[in-house]
Amino acid sequence: MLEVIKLTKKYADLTAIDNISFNAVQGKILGLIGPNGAGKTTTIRSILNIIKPTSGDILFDGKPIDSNFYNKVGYLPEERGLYKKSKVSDVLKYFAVLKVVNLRKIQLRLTSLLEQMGIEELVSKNIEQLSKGNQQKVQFISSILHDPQILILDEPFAGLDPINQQIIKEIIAAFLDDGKIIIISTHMMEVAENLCSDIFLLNKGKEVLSGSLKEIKQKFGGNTYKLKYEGDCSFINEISGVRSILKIDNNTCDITFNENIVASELLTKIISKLKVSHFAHIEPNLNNIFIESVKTSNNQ
Amino acid sequence: MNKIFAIAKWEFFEKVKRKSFFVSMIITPLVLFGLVYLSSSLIGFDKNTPTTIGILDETNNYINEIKINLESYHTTDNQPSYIVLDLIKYPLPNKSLPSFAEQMIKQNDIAGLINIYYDPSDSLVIDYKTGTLSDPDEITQVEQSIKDAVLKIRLSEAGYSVDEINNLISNIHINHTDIDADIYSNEAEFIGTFLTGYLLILLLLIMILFAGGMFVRSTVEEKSNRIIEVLLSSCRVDQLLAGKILGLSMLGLFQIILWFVIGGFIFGNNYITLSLSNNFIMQIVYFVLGYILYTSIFVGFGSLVNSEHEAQQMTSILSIVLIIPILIASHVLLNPYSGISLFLSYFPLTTAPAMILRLNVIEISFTEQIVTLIIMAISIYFMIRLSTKIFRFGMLSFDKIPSIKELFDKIKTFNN
Repeated sequence: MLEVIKLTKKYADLTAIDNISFNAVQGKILGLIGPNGAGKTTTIRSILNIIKPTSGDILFDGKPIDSNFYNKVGYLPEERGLYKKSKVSDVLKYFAVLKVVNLRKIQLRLTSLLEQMGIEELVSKNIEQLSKGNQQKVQFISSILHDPQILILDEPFAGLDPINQQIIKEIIAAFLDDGKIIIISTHMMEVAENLCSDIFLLNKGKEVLSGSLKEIKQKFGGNTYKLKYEGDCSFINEISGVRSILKIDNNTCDITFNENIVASELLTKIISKLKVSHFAHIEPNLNNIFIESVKTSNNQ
Repeated sequence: MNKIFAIAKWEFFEKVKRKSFFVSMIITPLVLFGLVYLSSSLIGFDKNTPTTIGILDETNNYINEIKINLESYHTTDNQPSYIVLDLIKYPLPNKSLPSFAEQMIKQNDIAGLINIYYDPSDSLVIDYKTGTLSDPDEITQVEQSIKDAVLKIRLSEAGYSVDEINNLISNIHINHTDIDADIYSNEAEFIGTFLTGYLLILLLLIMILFAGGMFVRSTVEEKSNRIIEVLLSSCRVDQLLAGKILGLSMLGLFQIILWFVIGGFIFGNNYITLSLSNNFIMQIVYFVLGYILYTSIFVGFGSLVNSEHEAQQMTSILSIVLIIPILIASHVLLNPYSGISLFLSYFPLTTAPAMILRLNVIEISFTEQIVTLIIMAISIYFMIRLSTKIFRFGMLSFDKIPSIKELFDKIKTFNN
């Protein structure tokens, strides 16, 4: 397990991350999400041991991270880049050697990954001769070639077509099956919602939300229902316990109410004044949760 | 250590494979030999052109002997060193001849004028006038020729026969000896030793400029495409720094070896014979220490650049530091005991070049060598520490190059 405990990083007057704590566990994907400038990159750089935090601890399997940790982690940065004038095979081997990997031992794995990605024929070409998509595949291979125990992926699907996205999802799934820890930093809420089991939402360096995706959804969307009706729905706002009503069109609205209200009781009150054709629970999406949480956090 | 060697290997082989490496392989030696040729020409080692000397002998008594003496000197390719013009034969009034002769010097028609006359008290006066710059050896030869001629004529006037005079003066050899240059037994050896010192300094400068330039350019690439983050997630910053310095050193060494091998093939036994000083091993020690110090400066400050434009700016600024050894070379070689030479030997940025040059021409006490080595070691230690801090900050900084004050403020907050 990777534990981030009360981590703070200050630069002069700026506090990039402020007393954040979270855990990333084996076999699960943690989504590190937040708006631009939230502190995601600083958090990742702290975990990667690139920068020294001002205070706080980062533990891996209960021990503080040290220089051996470099060999256990794989990292795919958001901005892709490789040595453009160098050969694909040379670049991949260089990054593997930096992780203290025996090149003979990984030869089979390298061949297998290249085949899986469909770029085995490009291995002797210079990076600059590859398409952007293929360069991204090479970079992804470089982050996993040494079979890391922790994989940190920053926007792993940006710029990839759906077929290649699927290939990478399959590799990530295989990693999870092997009990590895995966952290994905992304702005694509769909990706986080589909892949991540746990979420840590940062804004202005501070924790806004954390926990399992399921719990978060329950917390945010437990009492929102879609109503289809005929008549005037304006009276619903006056019902005690109703937090908000969002009109979609003349005959549809979303109603959010307090947790102490029972849905059937509310429906009874509505039916007494409106002709109702549909009343169903709405599961909130992460995108809305993200927007609502960041807005609330900004207003505080 | 494996990571350091892996980085060094990558830095070395990736740069050796590049076209720019081979381009510099050709251009750099041309510049190097051009500079050496220029400097040797400037200090008067080019002896192949005869010097024209005008003689205005108003006594008409000494000119022939002086002419014979001057014409006995020959250049390295066996041509006469001097051409003598008898100015008294010019169809001008005697009073106008001295001013006419001086005019000839100003117009570079003659390099020097020997004016021989009697003053009002009938004492013999011999003036030797030259242009703005003269070769010290040339002055010595002319003076010796005049002294020999005067001595021979005076002995003749005293009644000695020609044979007796020749016998009396034939075994006199006046050797001009510089107290600092007692290790040179002949001029060729002096030139060889001088060039060795100069070449070592030039090699140091070119190696650093070449390797430093390559480092700065690769920094731009690694920062612009964020490879640096991948590298720093694989090794410590000091390992990356050490690997890069080691790789660049290997590259510089490889380049020098290649130059010597290619030079050997092209010129065979005919290329300049360089005389190694007795202190050559110590010179190499200072060379290596100087290389590490200058490279660490380049690596530290070079990590701040983000674009090709900034890379050029930074290389230009850092090159100013590297010009110092060239500026001091002539002074230190000719005045190895001067106060300036001593100061330069103890000033960390110039210790290495100053000591390389001084060791070339004099013996330096053991104590002085130990003190300067300690100065170098301490300077390198603090420079690498500073460079590591700048590098750690610089490689993750994508803003414009900060001012020195901003830089130190940022480093302070970044590393805390």
